[in-house]
Amino acid sequence: MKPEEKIEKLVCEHGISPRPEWLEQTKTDMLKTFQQAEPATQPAGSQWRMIMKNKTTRATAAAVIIAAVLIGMSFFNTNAVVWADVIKPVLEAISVEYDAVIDESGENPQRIHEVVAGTYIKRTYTEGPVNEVLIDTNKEMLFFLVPEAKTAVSIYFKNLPKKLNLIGQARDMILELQNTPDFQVQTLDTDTIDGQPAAGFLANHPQKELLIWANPKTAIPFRIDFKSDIAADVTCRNFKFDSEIPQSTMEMKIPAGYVHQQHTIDLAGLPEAELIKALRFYAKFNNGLFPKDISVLHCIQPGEDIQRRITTLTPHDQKALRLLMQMTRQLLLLQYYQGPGQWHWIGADVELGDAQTPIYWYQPVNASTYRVIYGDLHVEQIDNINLLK
Amino acid sequence: MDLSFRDKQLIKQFKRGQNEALAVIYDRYVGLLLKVADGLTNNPDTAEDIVHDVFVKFAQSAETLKLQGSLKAYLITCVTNRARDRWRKLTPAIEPGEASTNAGPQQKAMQRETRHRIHQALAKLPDQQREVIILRLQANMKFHEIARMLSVSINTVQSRYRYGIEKLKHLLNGELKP
Repeated sequence: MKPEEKIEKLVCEHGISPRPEWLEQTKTDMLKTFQQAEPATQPAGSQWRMIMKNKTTRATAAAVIIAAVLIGMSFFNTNAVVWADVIKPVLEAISVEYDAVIDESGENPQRIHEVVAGTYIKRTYTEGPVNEVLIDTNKEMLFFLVPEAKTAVSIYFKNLPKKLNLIGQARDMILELQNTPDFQVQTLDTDTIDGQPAAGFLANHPQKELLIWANPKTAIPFRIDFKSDIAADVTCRNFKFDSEIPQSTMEMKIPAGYVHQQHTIDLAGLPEAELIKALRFYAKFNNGLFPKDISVLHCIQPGEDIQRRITTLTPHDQKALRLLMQMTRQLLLLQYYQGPGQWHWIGADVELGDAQTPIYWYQPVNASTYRVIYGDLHVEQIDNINLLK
Repeated sequence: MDLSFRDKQLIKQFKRGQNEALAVIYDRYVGLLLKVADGLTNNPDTAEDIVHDVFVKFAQSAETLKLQGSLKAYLITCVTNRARDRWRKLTPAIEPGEASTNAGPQQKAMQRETRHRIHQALAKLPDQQREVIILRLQANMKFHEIARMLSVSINTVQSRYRYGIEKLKHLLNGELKP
């Protein structure tokens, strides 16, 4: 280990642990201050206490309770639906249609619409050179049209990850969470979310969280928030579960007059040099910055330079199309170059050429050391990955 | 900057007057903030005071709080600002702190000595270099996040970090020998 790394490790491990009595006292003081301060909105409990203290409202409230019991509904902040009802459509639906936003609170949110039916996925982008992408996860192939170049592109993959749709990732996360010993579901107060009444459920264990908002009467979810496989914040809305999806929606038709290009990409066993080439390619076309994360969804919106080149291409400009294909390939490499072992992207907004900041690390299979790629794309081998985490 | 949906929910519940949400925010961040405050001030008593004040002040902010970025970055900024105010008033007190409870007596003594030396070395750094090193290594912040928080360029942050590490290397020469 270099002396600088040892210094970093020493400082990293250095630090005091809170004294229990101080922890308790500070918490008590904070909560006391909070109770003394006037809250912006009365909490549900105190709202209820206020209603029951007032003679006029007390009678009305009693009537509401009786009516609620008779018609089998809940009242005030109690959720009528339970977790098991809410996740049922998510887990069992054969087809799902929804809108999704990745990194909604970030500077550059990505909006897509997905239709998932069996092994097919149709993804529609609101921005970028490609409007629609069809994926057949069974055949491991992806199909899209580039209208400006009158070209249809089919890409056949080897070792394509199975869960390419966002709802599938949410579904896996629910199952995974439910199978862990630390799993908990918190029933949230009924709230107004996206302009409609909502029953909320927060499922979590120490590493993962998923939040579902459902209609309090029907238990049908209308919004799910979670962190995706590539650690981006995802919000899915406007679900249509098991709606009828015409077969034509998933047909990969090549329009008349279009050129058909076919490519094959193997996403396993890629050499590190390929990854570095892809990282350089992306940063070069993204105004010299590395992406927030390395998902296709995040990177599909090209930088200004490449967007300008693509939008100005002529109908048969195969040179520009090659550029688009190169970009697609590089982005896929970025997303799926996981090394055979563990890996992590830490290069959000780092500048190309920054020799001090690590952007990506991975542990090759059967190796005890880690490979770390820096912003200037030099690679170092280190023993202790905790320094980068 | 990312604002995780869990923090969003907690802030929403906190703003609606829910004690439990504030307690969860406290449990999530108190350890990290104390570590950062201690690193910045080199004085555990001052660090405890700062973190106490930050949480009490935070509890009063339910109505006015408007977060642009992450809750973590917001709370670290509060701690950093208070630590800066104290730099001008206080001389660091060097406290070795507690050694790991799993270690034997001899090992504990060595750990205490190492901590003492790191504390001393950090105290000798210029405030700006110490600030960047603590935010990077103890708060796990990225250089561009630190740059945004301190309103300086990323190059400035990186050079403060480099100079700080160089100085620590010189000051802690004995600790680096195998």
